[in-house]
Amino acid sequence: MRSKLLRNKWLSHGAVLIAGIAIGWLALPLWRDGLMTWHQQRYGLLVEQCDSAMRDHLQAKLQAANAPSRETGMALYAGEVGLIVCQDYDLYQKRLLQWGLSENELAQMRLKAIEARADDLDEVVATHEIRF
Amino acid sequence: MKSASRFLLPVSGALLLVSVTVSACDPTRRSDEQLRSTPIEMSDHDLAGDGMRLAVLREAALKNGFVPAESLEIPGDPARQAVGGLIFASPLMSLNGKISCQDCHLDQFGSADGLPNAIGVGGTGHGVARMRSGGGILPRNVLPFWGRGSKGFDTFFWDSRVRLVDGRVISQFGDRAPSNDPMIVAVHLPSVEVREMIADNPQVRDGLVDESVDIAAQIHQTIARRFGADATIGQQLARTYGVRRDAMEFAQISDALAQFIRHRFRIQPTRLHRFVFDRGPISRTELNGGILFYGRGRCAACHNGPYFSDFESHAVAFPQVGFGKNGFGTDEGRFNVTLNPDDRFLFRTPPLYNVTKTSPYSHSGSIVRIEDAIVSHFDPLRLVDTKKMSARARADLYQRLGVAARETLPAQLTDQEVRELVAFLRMLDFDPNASVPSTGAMLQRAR
Repeated sequence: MRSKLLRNKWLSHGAVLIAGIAIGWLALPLWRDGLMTWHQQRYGLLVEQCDSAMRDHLQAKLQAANAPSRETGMALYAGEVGLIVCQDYDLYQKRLLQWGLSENELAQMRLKAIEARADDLDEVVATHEIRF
Repeated sequence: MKSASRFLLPVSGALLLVSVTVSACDPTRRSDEQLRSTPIEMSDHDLAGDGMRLAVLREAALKNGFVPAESLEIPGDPARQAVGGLIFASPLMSLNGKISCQDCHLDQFGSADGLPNAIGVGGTGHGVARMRSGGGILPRNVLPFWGRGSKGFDTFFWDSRVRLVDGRVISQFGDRAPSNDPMIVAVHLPSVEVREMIADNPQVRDGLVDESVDIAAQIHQTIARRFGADATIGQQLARTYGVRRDAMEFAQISDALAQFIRHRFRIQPTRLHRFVFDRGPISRTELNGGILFYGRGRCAACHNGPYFSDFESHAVAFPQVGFGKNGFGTDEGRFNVTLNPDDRFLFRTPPLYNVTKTSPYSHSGSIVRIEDAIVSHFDPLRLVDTKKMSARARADLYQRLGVAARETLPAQLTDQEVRELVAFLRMLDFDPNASVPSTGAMLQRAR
């Protein structure tokens, strides 16, 4: 014999809705944590590679400005092609945003990537210290 | 209705799970095999993704001097090429009559010999059997022949000891170079190189080793006379060059040999040619490798031009095996030719056609896997165990590292990226036998 409460459609549907929202509310941080853990390694690598590509490009640009030649011109071109990895990084990041990660969480992943390579406290301090 | 909803609920739940899993997974984590087999075609609506990369790779290849294979060929005379093929395979090319060019330049090893250091005169057999046969060891890796002597390929040997500078051949022949063609000058050298094609014994050392051009000419004349006297080759040479067999000179021998090498080992169309010039297919792995080659890998800083070599001398801190050109496991490379201290440990940039077939790699053949050859460019210490090295070997390594550190260094590449680079390099492979006729067929055609 089913209870009268369960037979009331509005009540039962409302209860399911509330339960769904509660589960969703509780599951969201877990989902985000899972995404961050799953993608940390790849995203971290792209952060590092893009950073490195940007620095290489800057070096090549300065070199080409200081000593213009075909050689430095081609080195600059290689630096530009190398920046494609930053597009990979950007696309990957947008994909993570699409899946629900916030800018804050992405920043957290980037920090982890930087700190994963930090050999000592100095590098962590250099990342965080206020410069004025 | 009730049973339908009972069925639909788990099905839609399962579908949701599958779609979440598939979408959240990183597509770059697919296996290399899967990636390699995924052909990418240019599509106009995808210009921000693969389409952009395809266009960048094509443009980068062209900007760095990539040209159609046919444009590199120097047309030759089929009759001369044919007789050159006979000379290439003949042991008459060596003073003791026991070693031919073909003994160290074999098809199965991509026109090299598959050994770290070359085994010259006295060696028998191929591969490991040759290494164990007790022949004279030459302290450098045999160079493959792809593209040798074709248009613009005018710098020869690991240490560039023969090269064309401002239209003039610079070589150890000084101002008595036997030809204005550096390829012809280059084919003069192996036959007068002790241990390579001349036995290293007291008679040779006392009678022939004086580093003079006259002695070299004397040896070449002896070899030419022998070829002239040979029933098959002599007759063929006499007919082709219009000279009497007893008046045969090394000029004819070297010309025929150069023509054969030029033709037999000419650059032929590769998958990269088809990709760049005919919009041919490319896999995602190859595309990634190409972008790395011209971008972050900075490979094209030295591996540029029609042959993927700038023909300049550069340093990579490869491990050294064997006793080395300078003894005690040291090879000072280009310095041995110029005696300029700035040239220590520099070697000519190796061209890259068919490179995946020419293991082992480096001037001393110390690297077996092409992946490791790439790693040596940006992380050479990964490949050596310094604790197992002698103090002398470590001291040499420090010097090589010092020179190599001044080169344009690639970004640190992951193992996956190195594999992608190798996939790209495989696009430079071609089968020389696909369109090259046998020497017999060439002779028939010439008649």
